Amino acid sequence: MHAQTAAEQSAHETADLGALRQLNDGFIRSVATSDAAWFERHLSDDFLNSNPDGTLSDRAAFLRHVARPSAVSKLAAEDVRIRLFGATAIVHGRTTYIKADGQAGAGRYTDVWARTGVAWLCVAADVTRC
Amino acid sequence: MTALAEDDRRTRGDDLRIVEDLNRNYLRAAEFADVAWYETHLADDFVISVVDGSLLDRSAFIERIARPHPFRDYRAVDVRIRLVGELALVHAGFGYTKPDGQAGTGRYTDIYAQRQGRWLCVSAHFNRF
Repeated sequence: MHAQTAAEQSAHETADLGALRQLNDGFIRSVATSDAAWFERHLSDDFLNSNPDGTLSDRAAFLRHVARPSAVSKLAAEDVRIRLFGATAIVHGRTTYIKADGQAGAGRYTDVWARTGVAWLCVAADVTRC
Repeated sequence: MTALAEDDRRTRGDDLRIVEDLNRNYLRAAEFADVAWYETHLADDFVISVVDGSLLDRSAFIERIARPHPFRDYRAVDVRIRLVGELALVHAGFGYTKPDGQAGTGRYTDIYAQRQGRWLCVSAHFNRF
């Protein structure tokens, strides 16, 4: 094993950031389309979700919830910031959406990802809807 | 159990106790506007998602913490601390008393990272109802 050079470290970080950006897009798209299968693949076994109503859901409860039709439409993420901490990462993002009554809504989320082998799994999410 | 595993378990136990103590003080400092505590325990790159959906950086949050507020009796409920890679995650419910005496609730996720041997808070996400 050799010590990682600065160039190798930079390349790994670039790859990780690209992978996490894609996963973040997948997370938002899968909430919008109730794609529980995507979450089956990308949530860790010990995943926890802090819901906008102040409750905490484990993986199974979140999967049941996300499989139902979404209460909002046109969900999109913006101002996404991804921060790497070795084999863990924090994603901060802002959401925009249309509520059931047609009004525009916005929110925020903080997701935590951990790399296991070559795959990143989401271990936690905290969601605010305003 | 190997000596290495015992050391690892002792270290993780120590880390959990440290983060548990940080979590207790985070709430105390928020209730009593203890800016000095935050100056000591927030990372330079700290950000917080607050109840109105905005994202504050370290200086904006400390400025906000310093202002008087009408809430009291802050307490954490069902605190769960997890060590995940280089991070420590704190998941907790939140209880407090509103100015009219009514009980309020909330939830937060705080995230700590080790920097130069110290756990510093790098992120918080807070909802209050």
